[in-house]
Amino acid sequence: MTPRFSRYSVVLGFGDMFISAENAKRWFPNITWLVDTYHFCSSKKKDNVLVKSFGPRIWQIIATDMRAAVYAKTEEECLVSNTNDTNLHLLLPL
Amino acid sequence: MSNSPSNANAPDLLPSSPSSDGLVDVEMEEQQNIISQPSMAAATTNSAATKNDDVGAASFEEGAVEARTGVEVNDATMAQAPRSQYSTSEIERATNLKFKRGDQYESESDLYEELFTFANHYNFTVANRGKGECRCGKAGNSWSKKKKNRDHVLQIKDSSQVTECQWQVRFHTESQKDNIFRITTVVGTHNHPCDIPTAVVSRKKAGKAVSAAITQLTNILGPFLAKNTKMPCNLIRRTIEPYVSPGVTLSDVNIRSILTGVKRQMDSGKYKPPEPVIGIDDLRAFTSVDITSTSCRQVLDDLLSNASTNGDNSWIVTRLMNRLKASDPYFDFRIHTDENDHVDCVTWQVGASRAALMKYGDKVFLDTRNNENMNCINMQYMSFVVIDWNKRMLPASESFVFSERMSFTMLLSISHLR
Repeated sequence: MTPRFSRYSVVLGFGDMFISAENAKRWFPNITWLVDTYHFCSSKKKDNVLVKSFGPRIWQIIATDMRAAVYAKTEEECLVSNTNDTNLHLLLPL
Repeated sequence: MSNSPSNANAPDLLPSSPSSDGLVDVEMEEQQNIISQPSMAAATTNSAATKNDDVGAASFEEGAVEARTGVEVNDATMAQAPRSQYSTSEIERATNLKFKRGDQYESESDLYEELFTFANHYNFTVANRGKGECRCGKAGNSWSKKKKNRDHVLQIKDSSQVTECQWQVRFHTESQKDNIFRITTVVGTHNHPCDIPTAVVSRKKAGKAVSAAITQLTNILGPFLAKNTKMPCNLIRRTIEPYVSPGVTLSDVNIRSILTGVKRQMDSGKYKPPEPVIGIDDLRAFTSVDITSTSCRQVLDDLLSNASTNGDNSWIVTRLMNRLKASDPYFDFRIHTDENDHVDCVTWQVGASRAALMKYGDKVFLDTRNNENMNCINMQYMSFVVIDWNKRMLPASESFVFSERMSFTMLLSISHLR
C-alpha cells in the first residue's frame, strides 16, 4: 500500500512486551527493538516490565532511581543513585 | 646517454634481442632501464599529449631521442615534491622541455590541465586570457593605459600584483573537424620570483580561490539559473558565502564572475538537473488529504441502517472498505479472512498515513487496544505508528481484528509490508 517502503526500511521500533524482539526481527530484519518507556517503567502503568521482573516490593524502592535514569538527559544523571541507604537492607533476602 | 645515440636507440630496436657478448648485454640493459622508466612515467603523466606523427617515426633519430629524454627528465622532476622556490632559469628550462612548439593535444581541457598542473608545481598561476592564449597570472597591468596617458599616478594602495610577466603558451586548432590543439608559441621567462607567498597572492588575484567553489555552487545555483529566476544580490551573496574562503570579497563584480563561472559549468554539461525525489505515481499517493475520516461515519451509519448482519461483520466490513475506497482515491485497504472465508482482520491506510510512513517509516511504534468497547462493531483496534520530528505520533495504518488470537504477525502479513 505504501510505495518505496519495505520491511527493510524500519531500523528502530518500540512497543510493549506483547511483541518479542524475535517477532519484530521476523518482520523487520533491520530493526532494533526496544520496550517503550510507558511499559518499561511508567508510574502510571502499575504492571510495567520492571515490576514484573523485580516484584512490586523491590520496585517500590528502586522505582524513583530507575525512572530518573530512564529519563536522564546526561550520562552523569543516569548513573547517579539517590536511593536511601537505610532502605537497602530491604533488598537483602529475608 | 644522450652522448651515445646508438645505445639510446637500442632499446627500441632490440628490446630483448639475445647477444653473444655478455658485456654488451649488460650495458644495453642499463640503457634500456634508464630510458624505459621515465618513458613509463611520461606515459602516465602526459598521456593526453599526442606527439606529431613524424615524431614517432623519427624517434629513432638522435635529436628526437634527446628531446623525448628531456621531457621525461622534466616529468621526473615534477614527480618530486615541489620546492618552496624556483629560479627563473629553472622554470624557463622546464617550460621549454615540457611544452614545445608543435606539440598536439586532443582537447583543450587536456592542455589546460597540463598547464595548471605545471604552474601549480612551479609556484605560479596560469590565466586563460582568451581563446588560445594562456599567460602567467602576473601578466597584465591594470593601470597601463592610465599610466601611459599620465592620467593616474600609481599609489601604494593602488599597487597591483601584476608585473607584466611574459610567460605564455599559445595554441590554436588546425581545423574544426580534427579538434586538435597545437602549441604555437612558448615563452618560459618570468620576471618575478616564483615562491610560495607570491603564488598564494597570485592564486587569489587569479580567482583560483573561487574556482573550487564554482564547482560546488553549480549544483546549488543551477536550478535558479536554469529557470532564469531573478535573485536579489544579497541573497546570492549569502548563498555563496559559505563556499568561498573568508579572504574573498564578495563584491558585485566577484558575484557576477562566480555566476558566469556557474553558467559556463552548466553550458559544458557539468550540471545535471535534480531528479524529482518522488515520481508522479508516488506523488499521487503522497498526500495529506483525508477524505475518509470525514465520510466514514456517514457511510457506516448508512450501511448499518440498511443491512442486517446477523452477527457476521464480514459483509459490513467489506462494503465499508469498498465504499470508502470509491470515494477517496488515496484510501487503500487489505482484508484477511479465516478458513471459513469470514473477515477476521482488516487494515486500512489513508493518504496522510501513507505520507507519514513514507517520510518517517524508519522508526515505528506498535501497540494494541484491548478494549473492545471503544468501537461500535466490537473489534480490537491495532495501529502501526510512526513519529515525526515534532515527536507527534501518526498512524501509518490502522486495523481491526475480530479475535484475540489475531496477532501482529497476521496484521503485518496482510498490511503494506508485503
